[in-house]
Amino acid sequence: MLHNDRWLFPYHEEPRTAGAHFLPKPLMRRAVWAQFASHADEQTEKHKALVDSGCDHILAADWLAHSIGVTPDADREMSVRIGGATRSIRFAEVTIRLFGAGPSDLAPADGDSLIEWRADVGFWSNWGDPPWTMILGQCGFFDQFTIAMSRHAQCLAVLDERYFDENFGSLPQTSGRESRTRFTI
Amino acid sequence: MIDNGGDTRDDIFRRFAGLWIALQNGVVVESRLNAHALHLALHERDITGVTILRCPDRDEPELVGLG
Repeated sequence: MLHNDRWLFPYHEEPRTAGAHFLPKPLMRRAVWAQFASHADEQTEKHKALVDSGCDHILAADWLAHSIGVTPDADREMSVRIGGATRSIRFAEVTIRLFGAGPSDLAPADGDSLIEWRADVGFWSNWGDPPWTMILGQCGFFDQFTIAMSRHAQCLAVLDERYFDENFGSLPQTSGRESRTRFTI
Repeated sequence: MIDNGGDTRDDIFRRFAGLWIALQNGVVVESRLNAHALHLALHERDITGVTILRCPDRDEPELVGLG
């Protein structure tokens, strides 16, 4: 599972900002095609989602939740600083579908999703013009798989969650560092 | 439908710079300044089965982090 080129996702190139012509390398984003679905299988369109290892959550616009009949939970609300401002996010569990890369980066490969899983998504409500509609972060995405990213290859690989331990082992315990309990997904 | 038949990916990014676009079979079928407006426009026209992404404008500062 998860060990062939269907699980490779080319980086998404964006134009450099004007005046940055002195930079010889292109601007490349780590992004994949993703879709949310409800228990009733109402589904969003397929969006180009940013893979953001620095974000601890999966985040998305709340109208995506509403469009599939999901209401983010008012009892699970917190504040995050994102896009230069503090914003409220409310969580809801949705199905997330990941699609293979297509021949161009304007659409995913034809056919069904490669994989789907359930995860909590933090939905923001007060961000009028976000640069991305879906952000795939640590909890809900990076804890489901091993994600390998190579600027050299300009590609992201989604691998089995066991791949990391099987290939890199785990850190030896030392007296100065407490081990963190790994949770079961 | 917005006729961009035959445009390459780079052509599309240049033509729709600063906009969110919805594509169907490689053709841009709708575009708007923000993603929610695009979603509403698609809903109004009963268009489904599209892919959605944003075409950044060269005049925008480069996004280096979401914080």
